[in-house]
Amino acid sequence: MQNFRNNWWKIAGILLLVWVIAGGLLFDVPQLPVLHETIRNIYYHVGMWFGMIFILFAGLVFSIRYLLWNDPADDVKAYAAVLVGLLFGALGLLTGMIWAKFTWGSFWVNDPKLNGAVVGVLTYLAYVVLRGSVDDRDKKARLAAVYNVFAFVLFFIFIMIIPRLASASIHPGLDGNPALSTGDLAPEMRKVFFPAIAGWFIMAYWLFTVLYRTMRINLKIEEITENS
Amino acid sequence: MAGEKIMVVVLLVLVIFLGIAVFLFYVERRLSVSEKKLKQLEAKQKKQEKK
Repeated sequence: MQNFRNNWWKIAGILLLVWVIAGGLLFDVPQLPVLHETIRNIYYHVGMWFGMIFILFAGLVFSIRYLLWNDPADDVKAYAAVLVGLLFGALGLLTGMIWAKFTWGSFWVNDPKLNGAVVGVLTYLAYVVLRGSVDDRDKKARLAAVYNVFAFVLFFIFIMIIPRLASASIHPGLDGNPALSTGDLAPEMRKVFFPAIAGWFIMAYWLFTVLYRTMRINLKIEEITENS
Repeated sequence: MAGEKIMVVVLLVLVIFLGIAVFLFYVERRLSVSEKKLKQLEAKQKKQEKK
């Protein structure tokens, strides 16, 4: 019973994604020119991208908390969140590239939205490099927290503002969020799309908790060995 | 034929996904054991410091 109480949301996440995998590949979808059956990728590509934004936002909150209250646990949480965000970002880019190959004929096209997305992910990769380049624990945490706040702002500039300034993009969602704007999503796809968003959010959070616990244990082991 | 193929793909993806989920549960179990051991170790260390 105790186990179920702790894990019900993980089981819910698994069930949601089982529904998304099965329904996403098997249910009927509207047959649109250019997209055809590839429209199914919206459940995975957009879902993972939203999952990434959710967990990166959590990372931003932890970094701000660290700057306010100086709790090292918040720094570790922010780091774990960024790593999970990078994983989801890489998966989002990968699924996007596969989708691009089947609709636009190439894995990558020179487009402000696509280029912005990859530069945004690289901004977060720099966060990991920055952390690795500082040895002092407090200095590292403070620097990383400040950078993480800037990284989140930069990320939004790269994926939302710069593509809008360019005014033309082959990628949908230039004047809103892809799949969320009115008329973007066929009603019959909503029964899979919305569970997909919830499922990917839960998956991102679950991975974050596992990674955070692993990092916390490693830190404690380091502290114990330093003290003894 | 195409229907059979997509069923195989769905099953394959589901097996991979469920495998990842089971692996995560396994990792969490191991983490719980490690956390318990660490707590005991910390308590021991505190006791020794007091002495």
